[in-house]
Amino acid sequence: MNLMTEKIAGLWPEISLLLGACSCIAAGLAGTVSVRRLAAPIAAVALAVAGVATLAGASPPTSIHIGAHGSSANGIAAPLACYVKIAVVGVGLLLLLVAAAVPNRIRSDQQVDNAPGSAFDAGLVMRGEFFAFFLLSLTGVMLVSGATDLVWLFLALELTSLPTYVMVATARDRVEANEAAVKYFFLGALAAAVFLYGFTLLYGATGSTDLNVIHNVAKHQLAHGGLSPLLLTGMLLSIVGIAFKIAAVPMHFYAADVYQGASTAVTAFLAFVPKTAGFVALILILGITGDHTPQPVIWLLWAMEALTMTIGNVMGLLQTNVKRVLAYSSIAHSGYMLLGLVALGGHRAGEAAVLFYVVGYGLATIAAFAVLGCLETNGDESQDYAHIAGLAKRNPGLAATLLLAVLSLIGMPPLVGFLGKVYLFTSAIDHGYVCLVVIAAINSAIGAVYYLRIASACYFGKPDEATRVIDWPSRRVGGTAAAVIALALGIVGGPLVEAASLAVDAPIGHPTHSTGIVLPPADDERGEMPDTATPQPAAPTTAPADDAPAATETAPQPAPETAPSEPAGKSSDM
Amino acid sequence: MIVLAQQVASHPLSPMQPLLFYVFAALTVGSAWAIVLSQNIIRMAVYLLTTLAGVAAIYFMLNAEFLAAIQLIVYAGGTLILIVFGVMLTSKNPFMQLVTSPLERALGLFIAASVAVMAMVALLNSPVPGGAAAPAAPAGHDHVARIGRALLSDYLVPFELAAVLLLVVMVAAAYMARRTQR
Amino acid sequence: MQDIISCLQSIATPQLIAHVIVIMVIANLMLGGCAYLILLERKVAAWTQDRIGPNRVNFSFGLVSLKSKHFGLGQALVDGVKLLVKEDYDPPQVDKILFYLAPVFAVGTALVGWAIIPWGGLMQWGDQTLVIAAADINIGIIYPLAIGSLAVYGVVVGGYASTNKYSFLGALRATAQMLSYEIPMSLCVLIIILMSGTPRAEDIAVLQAAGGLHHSWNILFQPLLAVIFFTCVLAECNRAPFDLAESEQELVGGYHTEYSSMKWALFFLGEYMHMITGSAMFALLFLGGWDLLPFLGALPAVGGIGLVLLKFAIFAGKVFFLLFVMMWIRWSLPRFRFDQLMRLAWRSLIPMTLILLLASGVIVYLRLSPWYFLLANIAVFVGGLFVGPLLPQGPPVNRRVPLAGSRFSPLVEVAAKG
Repeated sequence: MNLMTEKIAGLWPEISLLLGACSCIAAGLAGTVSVRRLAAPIAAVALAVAGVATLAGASPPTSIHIGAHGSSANGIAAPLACYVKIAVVGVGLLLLLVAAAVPNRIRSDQQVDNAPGSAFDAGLVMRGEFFAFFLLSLTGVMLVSGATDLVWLFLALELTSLPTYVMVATARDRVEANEAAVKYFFLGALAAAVFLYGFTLLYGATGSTDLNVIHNVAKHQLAHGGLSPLLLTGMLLSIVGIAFKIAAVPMHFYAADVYQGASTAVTAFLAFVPKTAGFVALILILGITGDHTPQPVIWLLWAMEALTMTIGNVMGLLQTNVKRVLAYSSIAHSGYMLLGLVALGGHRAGEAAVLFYVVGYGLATIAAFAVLGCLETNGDESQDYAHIAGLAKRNPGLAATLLLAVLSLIGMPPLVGFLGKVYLFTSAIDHGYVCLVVIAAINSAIGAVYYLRIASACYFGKPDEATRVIDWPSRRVGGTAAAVIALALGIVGGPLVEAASLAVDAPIGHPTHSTGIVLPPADDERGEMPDTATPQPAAPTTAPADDAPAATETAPQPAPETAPSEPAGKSSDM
Repeated sequence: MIVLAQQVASHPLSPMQPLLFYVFAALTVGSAWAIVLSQNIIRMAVYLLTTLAGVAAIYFMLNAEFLAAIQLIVYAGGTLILIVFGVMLTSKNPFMQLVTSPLERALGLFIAASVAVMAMVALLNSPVPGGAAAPAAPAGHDHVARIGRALLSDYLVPFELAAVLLLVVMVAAAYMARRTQR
Repeated sequence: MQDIISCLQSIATPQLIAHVIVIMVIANLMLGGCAYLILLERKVAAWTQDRIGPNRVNFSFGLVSLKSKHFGLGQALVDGVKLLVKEDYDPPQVDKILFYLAPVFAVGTALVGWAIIPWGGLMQWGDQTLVIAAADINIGIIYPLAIGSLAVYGVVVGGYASTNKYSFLGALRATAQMLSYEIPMSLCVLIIILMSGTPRAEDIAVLQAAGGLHHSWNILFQPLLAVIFFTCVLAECNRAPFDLAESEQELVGGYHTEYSSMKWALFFLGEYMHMITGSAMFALLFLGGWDLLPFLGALPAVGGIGLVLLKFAIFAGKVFFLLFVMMWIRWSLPRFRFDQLMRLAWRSLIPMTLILLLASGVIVYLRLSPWYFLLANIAVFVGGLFVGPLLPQGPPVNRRVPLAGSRFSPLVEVAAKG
């Protein structure tokens, strides 16, 4: 019994999301439309509770967190989990704002909404399940970050992906959505088979599914004549399989079709959630060998990285459909992030850069998709360059949001994308991958072309007659918030980078560090501050120094702030 | 009969042990080939059944009876029959032949061969790690209890996670079926 | 050579010989018994319908003149010969491989399913205690579930391979039915494992036969569970009132429409052997296995050959009684409609067994007296009676469609008035 409670002690955020998902399903089965509409607020509350639970669970990090389930491969998992959970809660709330209106687009829901007097058909309104899947997928990401076991990792990765298949299929009443979902599902199953095969080889090579044990066996093997080929093959296959989640090269081909077919808000979800899960899983898998990534793995990552960037950017250049452009941009950005994974070893700056970049990319891409989702052409989603043309003249706010987003994706200096790229590139250069960085720089230049094409269409194009701006406050608020945070983080992003680097660094028994990560200072979670400040001696020194960043930093932070405002915003558009 | 075979074969001196292993291994691999080469989907399912049963028999021989039984209940008796059921209910013509083009065959053969070569090379060059760490399960009488304890202690989170995953699948299936029904 | 002999000697332990003897005896008894079960079925049918039934064929077979008719006991043998010598016709369109494999699946699974039934309990042999069962494996009563879950393949494959729409429909129905009823059945077995603390068949029998107020037949503690289990056994065997897979009024012969001669007989044989296995499982799980009477603890757990034979006789008697009940039910109850069948499994049996599982878990965890199980059973039964009608009902099934000419047609009423 003790063991059981101990096992779930670190999982309160996940449990709260799970309970939220169950409540959403229950609310979605209610007999009246008004109760069914509660699903989105319930999801927001669940996310907020998860955020609070993460922060609360993290407050005495040395004692509880690392003690409870921090026995991961290399001692990095517990802080890693905290960072990822907070990031997921923060970005998740923004995504929720963007996606809150998604069910309104489903035709059957519209029928009910448009005809309040008509007979209520319980089968027609399907809000609850959508938000339940939303939360369950986020639960999966959180669980990935806490994984200490290959079985756990596999199941968590699948929990991340499975709901997204359904979200792609159902959030849009188009044949393309179904086609996209089927493609996504089958290729996802193939990828899952590949990395599961990799996991079984890892198990076969080490005799354990525990990442910690696998790490020790690998360490032992490295000390005695190198890794066994079985372990190596397992790692390679796992990486190739997980590449599907991050849309990296051998497994990238689904991205454009799926991103295009899915409802825009769901596309934003796809661009952030599976990608985060995939990168965290990759970090865990690479953690098996600790600081000595074997050469074949480096070669594989090298090749994946170069190909992913190049294919993503060159193909992105050829598209006329903005959603496809952003899909290829998503592929390209995975390529940049792989740069950080190549640059392993030493102080793990590469992984920290990846963790930071994934949040920065997520914010920018969510903003872009949110703007796209606010437009409608002929009753369907706007997707072409022509549709966004002249947006600045009709709605300067949306246009500015889109501009910020693409500038961040390009990597322009004041924005978060710039900071992310700087960290990635420097970490790679530190490890001597100058050639890769040159490729990445060339690719950034190529990518800038199509990003600027979006911006120029938006500012200098002639307005499209068939396109209209839909009044969805929640989505607009979500997109704008994402863009503003991207800007703010770019200006004062130091602390988040600090947090990210500590998330992977975090030597056990270094209380200063672990608290630093887990608890971004100046949290508006009331009452947390004193708890966290007490344990570490370093707190007083850091506090004054980081005074300015304290207010703005912490990517996760927007989360709790936006939470309360959001139900109100939503009710107006439903 | 499998049980009798297991009883006999589990005896350490038994000459039947390797013999039975080869029989079941041949059954497993042979029917796996048959699945790939067959063109009729129900026949594939039947061959898959023999594959699964062959694997279950090998589990029996390793004294992992519980695993063997679960393999039969979950895969052969549950999943596979559901697949067959789904195929029979949904396909326009369940008697149709699946035709693979020569190109597809060549491609499949290439991928399969490369995976096989990779796996073989990796396997043959690696020491067997579990040899000392995880000896073959003794023919004791408390396997079920031990598996139960492991599932509720060391593997509690994956165990519950699997339950959540199945819940998701169930809700998803109901959701999508409902959606098309209107 | 020497090696092989010494090896054989080391293998051929008394336990193994006991296994082999039990296998030979039970397998032959089952095969022979099935023929007579068919005769019994016909007799029971006749008695239920106030007829006499087959009573003519004696053991003379027309070769010699015998006065006695031997109660028609020769009928079974004649039927067997008839089935063997009938023309074995394969329709031209069938999928040959699967068409021949299906009866193999049907009989094969039936032949191995009863392996763990402890027919004779434990036997003292020198300094060893032998288990008088075909096999003694530590997963015990989980094993028949595993084998039973494969039984559906005979029906599915047979129905598919026949390339006949009635066969196909029968196969579809059988799949859905057997999958659905496997769930409550497995849950019942799980509850018994939970109660007994072991999945081993012999241990479960010994626990029930221990005597005293706290160790008695499980049917006394879990009567509702026993009813549910028996229902599931009927459904798994495709027996009436759950014989939708072969309902002759709707589907000609269901999945075995295209089968004839011995291949058809193998399906029949499989069904009767499944009945025997199911009855034996019920007797083991709920009727104390080889125990004589509840509460008394009359028979010791271990004994000599005489005790083994007595236990076997008691066990066989219980199985025979249960088989009789199955036939009784078959000829007394009308067949379910398919939606009723599904509703029974998914909306009654599964929720009830789940609640019982939960309750049993709590009772076991708190180490309460087993009589609390009875309380839980009664509570679930009464609760089901009250809660059932309150649950949301689905849309009306089997709606009356006013087709012109049907008896629900409004036109008929108009015509009658006019």
